[in-house]
Amino acid sequence: MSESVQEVKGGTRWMRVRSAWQAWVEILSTRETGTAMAWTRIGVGLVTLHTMTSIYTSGVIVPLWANKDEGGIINLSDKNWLVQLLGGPSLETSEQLLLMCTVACALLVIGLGSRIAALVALQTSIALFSLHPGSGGGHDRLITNMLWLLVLVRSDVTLSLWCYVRSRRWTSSELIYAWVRYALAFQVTVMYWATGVQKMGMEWMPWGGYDAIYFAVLHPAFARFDHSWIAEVMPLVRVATAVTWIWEVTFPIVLLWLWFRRTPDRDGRLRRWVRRWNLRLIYVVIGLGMHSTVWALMDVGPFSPITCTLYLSLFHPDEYARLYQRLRGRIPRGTAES
Amino acid sequence: MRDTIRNILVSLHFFAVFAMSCPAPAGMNEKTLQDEHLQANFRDWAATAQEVGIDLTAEDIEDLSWTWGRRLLAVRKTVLAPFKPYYTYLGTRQSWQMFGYLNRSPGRIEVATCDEVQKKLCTDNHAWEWRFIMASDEADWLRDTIEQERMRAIVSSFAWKKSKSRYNSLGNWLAKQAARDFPEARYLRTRMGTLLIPEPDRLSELGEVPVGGWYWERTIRIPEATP
Repeated sequence: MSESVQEVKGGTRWMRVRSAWQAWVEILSTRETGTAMAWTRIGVGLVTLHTMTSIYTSGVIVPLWANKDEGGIINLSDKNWLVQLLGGPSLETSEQLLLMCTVACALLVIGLGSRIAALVALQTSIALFSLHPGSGGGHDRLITNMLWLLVLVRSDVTLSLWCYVRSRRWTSSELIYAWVRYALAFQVTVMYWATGVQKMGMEWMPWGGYDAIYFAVLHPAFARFDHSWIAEVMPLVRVATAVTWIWEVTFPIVLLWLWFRRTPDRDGRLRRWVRRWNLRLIYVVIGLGMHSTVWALMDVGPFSPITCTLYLSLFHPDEYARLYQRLRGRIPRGTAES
Repeated sequence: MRDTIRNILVSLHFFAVFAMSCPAPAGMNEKTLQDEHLQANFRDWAATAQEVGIDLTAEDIEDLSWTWGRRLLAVRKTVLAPFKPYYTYLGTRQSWQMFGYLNRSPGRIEVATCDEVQKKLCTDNHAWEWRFIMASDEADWLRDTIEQERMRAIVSSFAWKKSKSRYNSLGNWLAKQAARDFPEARYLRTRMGTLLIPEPDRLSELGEVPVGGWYWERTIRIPEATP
């Protein structure tokens, strides 16, 4: 008797696992038009292009990407396979990598051979960042993460030169897999949640005075200007500190909201409560405000723009289409042309 | 079959990203545990615990962090091991510790040169001329280079008293640049000034962040200089 009960239980459990896997497969098999991924491709391409060109224009290529005998600060690391393939670490190798990456990013922006361009940009970026460890930050990891996902998707089916070459039209409604967009949405969620829960400094806590942003902004290595004035606006700083921490830690709510929106046929008190507000828009607006402020006050490289590029993945291609229609409807044609 | 393989690989990607980003006290060892900022944080947490009636001392929190941190790191290392090539070769590494602990006394780099032939004649009141001070509008030699975002990332580690060998390499590099830009200079001096960020009310009174001392003071003979 008990054996048959166990068999039934085991069978039910197996059925549940099977059904969960099928639901997961269904999600991963979803297809959609490529607008969201096209905008993401353009965003990542532009941010990476700017990152690479700023290395040229600011003159740090020699101190940071040359060996000591070539005028650099340190002897470059030779651990990366591509660096070894190009003849070992040297200023010449760095310049070659920088040039290849710049060209690949330009192709990514215009949308020509996007998957190959993303792969070249990815590998040259990894090689370049490996040469002088410590000369970057989280933004570099975010760039490479996004480039890898762009390798896996046909992001140039629309809004690209490739689309124009194929169809004499700049846009197309060709379908691509949606899971890469989901992976990007997952990436931004994981990033904010992980950074939020690791903020263990007392200054992030209510009993620590919510002074974290005050101390962060005054750090000489990151401050764009002298921010001594910040002591005069402490109520604002404390609200911003509290909002930042709560916003980061609770960011997974956005994924939950997106899931609830994807499954409107299901019902429940939590679903009804969560769907009363456009939580995604609230989180995105707070994020844009926060990153704009960080960008204005602190020099933390391309962190703000590359993170904001991730937000593009939080919107379904149909929402871009609706936005476009609304903008077209509101702006008279003659005005737009003039 | 192709779909099944794709779904398994995509699922592994999601898992790899999540597992790598899970908070871990990366780089934790007996030395890093003695870091003064971390110790201050233990003391703050102990005081908070005491206030709410939990009998924990800073040493208890340090012990707990050490014990559980090591266990967590061991599990994490085992879980991440099969994905290591995926992180390394495809750039999917995750690490999102951003301003977790705030540095209330960060350092800023300061650079001076001296034209005197004899080092002993280079004194604070006499011969040292300050050429670069981080975020200063007056001493702004090589500012565009040193304050470039990628150089800031390097300099920020010095503010936490980390990467001293790289600090020395930067000093040697600056000495070479000084030989070009200040042909009369004989010595170059680098140091890290400790900024004591006061409480907001105090900063309002002072008007600027005071310097509380210096560390890593170093004098380098400018390479091409002749006595």
